[in-house]
Amino acid sequence: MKYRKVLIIDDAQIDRYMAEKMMKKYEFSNEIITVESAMDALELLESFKTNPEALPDLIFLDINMPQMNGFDFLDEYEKLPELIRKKCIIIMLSSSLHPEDRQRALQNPHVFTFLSKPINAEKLRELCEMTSTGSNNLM
Amino acid sequence: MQSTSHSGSSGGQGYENVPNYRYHLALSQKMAKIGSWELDLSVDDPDAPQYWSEETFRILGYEPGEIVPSFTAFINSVHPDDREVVMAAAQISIKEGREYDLEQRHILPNGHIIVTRSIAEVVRDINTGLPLKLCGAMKDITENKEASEALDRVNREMAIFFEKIDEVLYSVNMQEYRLLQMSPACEKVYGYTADEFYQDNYLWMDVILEEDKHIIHQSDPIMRRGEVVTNEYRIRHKDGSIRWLGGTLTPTLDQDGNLLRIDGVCSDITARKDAELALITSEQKFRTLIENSSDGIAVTSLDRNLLFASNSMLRITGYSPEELHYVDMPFLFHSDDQSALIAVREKILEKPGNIARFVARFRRKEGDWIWLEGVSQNLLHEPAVNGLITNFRDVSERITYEEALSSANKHLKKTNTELDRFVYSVSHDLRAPLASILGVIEFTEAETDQSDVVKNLSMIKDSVKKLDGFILDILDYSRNARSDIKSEIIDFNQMLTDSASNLKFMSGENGKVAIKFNVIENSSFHSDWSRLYIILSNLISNAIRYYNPDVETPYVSVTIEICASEAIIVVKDNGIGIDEKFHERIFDMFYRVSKKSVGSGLGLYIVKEAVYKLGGTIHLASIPGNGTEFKLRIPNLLK
Repeated sequence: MKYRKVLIIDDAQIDRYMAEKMMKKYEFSNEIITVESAMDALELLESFKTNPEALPDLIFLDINMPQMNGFDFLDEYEKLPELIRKKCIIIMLSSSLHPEDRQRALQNPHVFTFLSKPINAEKLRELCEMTSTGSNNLM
Repeated sequence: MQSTSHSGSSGGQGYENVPNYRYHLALSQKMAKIGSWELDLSVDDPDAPQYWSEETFRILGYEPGEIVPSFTAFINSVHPDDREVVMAAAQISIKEGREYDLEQRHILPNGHIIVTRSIAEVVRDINTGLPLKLCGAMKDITENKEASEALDRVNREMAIFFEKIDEVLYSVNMQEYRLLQMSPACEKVYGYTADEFYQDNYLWMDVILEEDKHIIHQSDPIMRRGEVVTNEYRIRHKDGSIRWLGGTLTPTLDQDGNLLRIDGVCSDITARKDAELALITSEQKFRTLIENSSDGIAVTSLDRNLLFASNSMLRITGYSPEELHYVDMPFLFHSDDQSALIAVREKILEKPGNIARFVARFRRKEGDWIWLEGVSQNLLHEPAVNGLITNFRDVSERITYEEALSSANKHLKKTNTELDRFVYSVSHDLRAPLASILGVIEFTEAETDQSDVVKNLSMIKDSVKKLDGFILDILDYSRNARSDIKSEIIDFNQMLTDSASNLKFMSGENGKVAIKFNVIENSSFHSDWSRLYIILSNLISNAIRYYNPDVETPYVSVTIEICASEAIIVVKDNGIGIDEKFHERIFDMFYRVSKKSVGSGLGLYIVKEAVYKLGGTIHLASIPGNGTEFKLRIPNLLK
């Protein structure tokens, strides 16, 4: 197991399902939490502030979501206590081809990297290497 | 007094008792300046004393009795050129007994040359009839001679002048209405000879154009008052052309005020008149232009008074130029435009000749607003203008049109942005489920061992990828067709790395195609990043997709050489190649070379369009089984 705990924020049920399956199969993380909206994710993170041990190591964040999209989430994430922000690594995940989305994601100081969907074994493996070396060259 | 005593002793014995005759004769001679003399023909000695009257001495430049009045003395006084004539005349006179009358020149002792007229008669012996004496009288006619010569000369010169000058001189007897004289210049001016004028007394009037005859008639009463008349009128020249004549007429009246005669001078002033008329015409033309121009022209003084306004002012503003004299024009402009107008005024007043443009709203007399566009110039220094001149016109239609255009443009830009966003959103919404499907397939592939399931999943996967590729191509196409060309610095190495990294996931088994690149930078390069990326990615992906399985080391190499003017890009592979018969069509939209082609048929079409957008060129060289080479030249937008 590479990670202790991963949070997946995606409105598409199939993507949440596949990500979870994929991660379990390749033993990417001990615990995988999935939420279907950014609001749910914020609520969850908020609930961990007195218990930082329960915070996820990685957050997979989709961009296109109803009501509050990935960027809106980042704006709200900004307001969370430093304690939370220091603990989590955010990976933005999207099938969006808009160059602006990709650029905007990478410019955000809280975003570690940007991955295009779908998640597959190779992308997970590379992500492991990146997080351990601190390099985020994979795009 | 030698001569007196001599004359007294030799002649005049019978006058002793009437001495006042001699006195009267001497006085007469002195007053009339006529000298008399005698030559005694019986004396052979030329130096023997003869008789000269006192006046003869004076005429020849001596005091009476100053010299011996001999024949020699007389002959010596005659001008050497005239001596022979004088001698000959005297000889003939003596010989034939005739009187002689001769003009001759004398050189006086003081050097002056005079002319005298001498008349002489021969006195004969009554008995023998032989010549005894030659008696003569002489008169100094130098002054007469000179005066008459001067008169001759003047007459001659006058005649030449009369004959030669370009002006026609003429005189008319107004009592008989008869032409007295007409100088030959008439032939040049009128085309008719002087004779033709003499034969037809009314010819000079007949040639004057009907519409100008009143000018002559008008001068009649003036001349009858004895005043000189100057006039200009047109005549029909004998050659048919119309000529302008200008001249003066000087009348001569008798004591009772009747017009006796006129003396006239006239000349051809056509050239001058034409020039004058041309000037008037051009001035009229200019004025007409100003008055009828659709542009308005206004001249204002430094204190904003309207000095001049063209008639078009009325049409444009609704105000007549007269009305605007009493209106402070700046207040007719829109309050929002006042500051701009003040700036214009300040700018042109800075120095003479300064020009400034303005566009401002103006309220017409009817109350509606129009846009005036104008140019003002400071011509205070030009005496002819002495003001600020403004040329202006109504550009309301244009401004309305521009506003409509600008609004349409804004709308179009918004639509364009929306469409852009729409394309991305749609493509995202189309691709997201595909990505999900792909994820499920890949996961299932890894889960199962059943070979026919794996085969089926592989077919589904190919179709999903093809659909995904198609969506990407449409997106590229849309991006290229509509977005503006950007000029940004291009890092080809980075671009090729990105592209290669993206293409790495493109195909599993094709992954063995090596991607090599070499960038030679002699200059930095500026162009449109996203279009270049589309071009390179498409060419590289084609090379990977159509690699030659029979080749041991399939590769695609990208060589880019940058110079100040352009980048030369060569994308070369050792793939399956393209038959020459397809070369012409492979850049066509949706054209695919064979059934085996897995793409959308858009890739090379998009490449061609993008290259075209960047102002570049693309050429293809390919041999089936050998490989393909695309050579591109892309202009460097670095300025």
